[in-house]
Amino acid sequence: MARTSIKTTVAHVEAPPDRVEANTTHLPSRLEPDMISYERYGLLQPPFSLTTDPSFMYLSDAHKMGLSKVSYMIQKRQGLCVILGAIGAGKTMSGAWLYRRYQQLRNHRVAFLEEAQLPLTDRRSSLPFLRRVAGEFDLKRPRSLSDQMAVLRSFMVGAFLDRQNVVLILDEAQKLYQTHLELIRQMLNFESRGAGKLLQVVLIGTPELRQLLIEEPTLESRVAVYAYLDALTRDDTTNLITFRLLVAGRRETLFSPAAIDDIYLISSGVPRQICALAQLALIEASTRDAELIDRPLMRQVIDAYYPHLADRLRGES
Amino acid sequence: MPNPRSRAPRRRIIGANWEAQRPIRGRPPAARPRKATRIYLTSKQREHWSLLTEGLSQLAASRIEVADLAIQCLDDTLQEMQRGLTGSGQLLPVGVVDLKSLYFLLDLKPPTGSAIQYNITMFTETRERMSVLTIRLQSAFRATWSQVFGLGIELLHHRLASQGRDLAILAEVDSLAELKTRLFQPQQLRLTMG
Repeated sequence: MARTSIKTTVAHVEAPPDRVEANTTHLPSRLEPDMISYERYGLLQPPFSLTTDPSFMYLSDAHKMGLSKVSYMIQKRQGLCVILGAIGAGKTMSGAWLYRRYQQLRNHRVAFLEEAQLPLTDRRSSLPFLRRVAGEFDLKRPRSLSDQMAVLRSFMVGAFLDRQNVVLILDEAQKLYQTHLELIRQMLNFESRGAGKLLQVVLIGTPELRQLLIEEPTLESRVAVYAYLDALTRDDTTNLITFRLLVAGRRETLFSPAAIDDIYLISSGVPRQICALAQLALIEASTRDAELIDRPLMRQVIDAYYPHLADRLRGES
Repeated sequence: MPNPRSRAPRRRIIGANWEAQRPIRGRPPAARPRKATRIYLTSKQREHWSLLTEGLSQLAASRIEVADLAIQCLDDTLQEMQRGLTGSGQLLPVGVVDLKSLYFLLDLKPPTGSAIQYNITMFTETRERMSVLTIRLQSAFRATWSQVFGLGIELLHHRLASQGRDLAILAEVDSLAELKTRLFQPQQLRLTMG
């Protein structure tokens, strides 16, 4: 199995909500000292952490639409899929979610390259990029480009003969150079007649990636599906907060509807902003021993941390 | 003297064609067995159901045949989808996590609003086919009997509508059999986005 770059979460996160809540009666050993204030809210872990944890992935309609189509194209061996979204829209989380899902399937070999792992410093040479891809699949890494390509090709052919689907997910793909895109195009040329591509590539990036692809028509023409991750709606904002609290171990409501209204207006429905605001509000509430996060508390948080955005709340009372 | 409390003597059946001569009470049995089924449909699904039954009546297709066509359409689509996926054991791609995702994947608008109960008559074979589909989708994401039928209606309406405005395809074919041939010809699922 490919080496993972994601810090995979421990199994307890996946437990059903009933079980999670049942565990709150005794203090779990995994709670860290700085998290201890969450305990009084019936939480086993911070619900609004900004780290990439697929267990906390809330699937809005836009996410469901995008991921259902992308996964269909991957499993149909259509080659190249693109996921686009603004900053904080949940792109990396979507990639991690797909990665985890495919990792659980025996007939898939999957690798997820985050930005930190992409050799973006050397724009002229394509070998480091190829070697990195090979490393993710635990393959040999010769020092010549043609040898490396041959190793990858034989791996993909072998996987295909074993009825396995090879999936490569690349995050922050808008930062790739043309040499890398050309390599991806070459790898997408590996295919079995009638049975589809030997390698499925998912490029994840900001809308600039679309422009980058337009400048590379040979690659752009190979895109099977584009998925766009839009900002969340007001209802989705409520659902995201409720879902994250539930996964973290709390069933009861913690935010008043008016406070969620404020979060939605300030964040404009961007998931990362929603989580950041909710986390600040939760910390503030725990320091004040507040049982419910209501509008006055939320306003104080906004005034303290986002004064430049307070104009968005004008007219809301 | 016979006992007044004893039963009347049983009438003896004479002749082999007694069954044929016996008067039949009630509605004569249908050539294909059928059964009324309770289904909950949203207002949009009901609207599409009415459009389909009205449109297909041009082809002398009864409501029962429309229900059969809808389930056949759903069955055909899911089978086609499964054939395309890597690994024969998988019914749906991993990104399809609930019924809503399936609607999105099939380029359909998910149902909204409350559902009202209707009685829809179906062939027994249609019901059996629908049971199989329900079990498969129920195991995937707890889809109910009504949700499966609703999805079938939406899918059939979408397929007919995608072949021309205002279900124009119905004017192009002469019979239900011809329509089925055109609808279920082997073709890849066309999924578009953006």
